[in-house]
Amino acid sequence: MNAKKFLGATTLAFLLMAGAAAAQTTTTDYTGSTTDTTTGTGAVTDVGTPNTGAGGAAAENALVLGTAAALAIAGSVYLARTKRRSSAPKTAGLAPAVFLV
Amino acid sequence: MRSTKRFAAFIITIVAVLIFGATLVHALWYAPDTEIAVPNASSTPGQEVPGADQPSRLVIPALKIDANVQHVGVKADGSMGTPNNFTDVAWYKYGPAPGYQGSSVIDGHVDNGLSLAGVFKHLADIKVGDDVYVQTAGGNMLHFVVSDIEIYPYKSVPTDQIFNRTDRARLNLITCDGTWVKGGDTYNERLVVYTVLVSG
Repeated sequence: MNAKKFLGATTLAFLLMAGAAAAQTTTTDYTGSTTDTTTGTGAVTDVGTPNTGAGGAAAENALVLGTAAALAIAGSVYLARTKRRSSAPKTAGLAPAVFLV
Repeated sequence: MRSTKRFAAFIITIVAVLIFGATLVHALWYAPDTEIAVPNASSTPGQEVPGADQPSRLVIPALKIDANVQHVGVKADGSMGTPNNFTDVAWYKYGPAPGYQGSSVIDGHVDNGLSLAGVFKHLADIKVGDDVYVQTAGGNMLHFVVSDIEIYPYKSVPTDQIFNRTDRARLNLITCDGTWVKGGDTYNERLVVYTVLVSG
């Protein structure tokens, strides 16, 4: 893959991931009647109901996981290819010239 | 030039791996809580709950639940805290302890960040008359029986009733139900299972 294309694709993917992450961190809506207060004896007498589910964020989480995995794989492949190219014997490029001689 | 590109690719790959790992852990195992400290708060006015009487395990044979009990307070938004994972349940430590006068409250997650089952995924399957046990830190086993099961819209949950301090010894189990409220980042209903102490 062309390095410019790779960088462009990764930047775009990061923007998508950032959007998904931002969507995940929205503030939880207060679900109770009033906020906590303490009495003179120190007991919390009023409390809201808990938010005990996270399944609604499954699509966003899956998107982040998929994008991150794709990026990691693409990055690894790019690194492996460029490493192989740079470590390949330099004589390989001279082969046609040898034939000409 | 090539080394710069390789370095950029390396950084991007590492960041992607870190994001993947963090998201996976957050979605499947770790549910961080933003609990706030309440100065001088105690579980029951004028009545400290000894450590041995505090709950350590919740057992519901009908649902095959045998869960560790965490102790939680309140979050910054005023709601009851939740367990920091999807397999434990959590006791509201500023309310009565199980077995004491009043309603003790235990909550648990219905699902995790990838929609896989949480500890209370099947709480709706419980029936009136089913047994619920709480083991205290001191080893005492408290026996409760389900007396009522209710589903409330999440904005009109009768918290006075659920967190009642003057009622007989009750244990109320609560979890999310209904459908996901996109903007609210929560489910639109709460399932509450009311139980009463029969022995222990």
